[in-house]
Amino acid sequence: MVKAQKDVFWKALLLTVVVFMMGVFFGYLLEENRVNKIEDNFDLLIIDWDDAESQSSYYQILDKDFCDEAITQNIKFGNEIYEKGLKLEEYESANRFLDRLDIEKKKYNLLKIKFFINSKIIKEKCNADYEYLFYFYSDVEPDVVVKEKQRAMSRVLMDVKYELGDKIILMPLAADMDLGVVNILLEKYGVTEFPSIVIKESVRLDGVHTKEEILAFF
Amino acid sequence: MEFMTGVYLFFILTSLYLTFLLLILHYKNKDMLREIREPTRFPKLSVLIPAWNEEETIGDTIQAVLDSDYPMDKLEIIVINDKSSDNTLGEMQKFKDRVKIINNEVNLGKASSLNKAAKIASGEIIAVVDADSYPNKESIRQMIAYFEEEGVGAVTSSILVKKGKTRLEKLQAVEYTIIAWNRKLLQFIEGIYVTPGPLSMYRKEAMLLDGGFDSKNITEDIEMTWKILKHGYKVRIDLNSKVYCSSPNRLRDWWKQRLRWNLGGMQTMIKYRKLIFNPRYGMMGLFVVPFFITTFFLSLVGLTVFFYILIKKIFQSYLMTKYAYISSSSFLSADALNLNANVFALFATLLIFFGILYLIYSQKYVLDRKIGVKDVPLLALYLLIYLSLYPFVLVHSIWRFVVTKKFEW
Repeated sequence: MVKAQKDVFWKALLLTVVVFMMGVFFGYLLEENRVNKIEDNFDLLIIDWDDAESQSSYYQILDKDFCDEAITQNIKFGNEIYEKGLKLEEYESANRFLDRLDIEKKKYNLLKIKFFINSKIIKEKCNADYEYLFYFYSDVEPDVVVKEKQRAMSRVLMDVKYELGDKIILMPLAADMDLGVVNILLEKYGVTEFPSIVIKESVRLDGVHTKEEILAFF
Repeated sequence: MEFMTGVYLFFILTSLYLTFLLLILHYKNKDMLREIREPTRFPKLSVLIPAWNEEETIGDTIQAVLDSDYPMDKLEIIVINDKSSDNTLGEMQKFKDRVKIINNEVNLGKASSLNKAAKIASGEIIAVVDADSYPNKESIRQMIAYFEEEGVGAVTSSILVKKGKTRLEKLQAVEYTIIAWNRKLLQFIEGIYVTPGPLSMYRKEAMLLDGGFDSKNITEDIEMTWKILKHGYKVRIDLNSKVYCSSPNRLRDWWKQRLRWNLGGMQTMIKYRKLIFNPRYGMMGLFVVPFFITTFFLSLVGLTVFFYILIKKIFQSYLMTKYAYISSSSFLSADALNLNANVFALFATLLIFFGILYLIYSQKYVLDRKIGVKDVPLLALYLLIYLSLYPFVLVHSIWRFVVTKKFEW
């Protein structure tokens, strides 16, 4: 004689809730861990930034013979901040609960601007020969066409950076994060659509372009 | 959290619930899955074998029933030739001394043929055997024992695929094994919702309720089971009783068969829709109907999500290719490969693990065999490709059901 085992419905529900909550919790932990990693990286980056900024101040004010070293340190920091920015994008796209890392991104953008200002001072004081390549992109829910245009341009700019190395400072900036200083740059260069690049602070190219088109300006 | 994240999580939650329900049933009842019941008495049994153009198989089917170890003086075999255009009748006549033959002058269809035969059947129990199915010697005897349990109106068997050569037949063999195991588990919550045609038995009084098999339904076996459950009877399955049936060996035939199953399932759902969550009908209203609808719904949600992802990816790939071409940049880059784990990856791993567990248990408890390394490619094909065909057939079925309203065998 078989009696309908109705208790299994509740047991299954209980087990499902427990496993589901554990999975969600574990997934949340994974994401939080990634955010923490980004924050730790940012703290380290701030230390590196303070170091780079102090060094450049020292070279500029006290010891102008060390211009080459100031330029090298500055470029090294520029590369570091670029790499960390890529990691941040990668982590953000994997997250499902903590899906926006706006605050971290704003911090990175501001640090990039600080770096830009510092590298501009060094360029003037030390007569450095590097040029700037600004890359303005939309970060807050861009439509799929803009997103794919940006993806293509990111690859093109990576190739440009690889080709020109330390001759350029690549400055990718999220343009729609409501940062005052970024808005000033957008206005200065007349950027209204994305993606857009500004070469040597004078030539603006909107949309998708080839590596060769960009290299022709250098 | 995005809307689609919510959809994925809901899908995961429902899948986990159904998975745990079956696994709990398995662990709770694993000693009873292969339980062998011996009958204390042998009631008069009528075996009905309807056939339409089955000249190649009908002889072996009749022989398999005749080879049964059920007492022959209690066994009546009625074969029905439903106006076949081949030599089915000739094959039947080879057994004319041992079986009763009904020869339809017009093609009535399976349900009506069975009803016609049931009227002249003298058995207390009626067995239905498809004309391309071959029960094991002991199957009929073992199944009969289940009718000794109070309130049992129908008993079915382990429907297995006759050894086939094609990959499609082998995949169906895996599928049928899992279905048999699942069906046995559902028995413990009075949730068996189909007694398939290859070999099922009915208490005659239960079978003849509401006019017998519904001739308007193209899956008369599903409808019959729901009717029996609705009237308060219990349905059982004996895993030890095996019947081997032919299965489609071409994808086109497989598709057609599944289309029929889905359409019949939908017809039945519509017919019994008022039973949903109605406690008056016990587990039929509280579990069978909702379970059936939920699995349909889950397949649809799964397919919608799949198509959403697919179309999005195709459109993205098109744009990516277009802009990569315009910019003369590479089409692919390492950044496209994001290997950072997230909550979906965790649950997907868990559900795949349970899928494998299902395969292992079904092979062990239905076929009494362990999965070996040589089975892995077939099982992987089953989990990754074969199962993903289900929702596509379902969409086709819904199209047929809603738009063309074309229900046929």
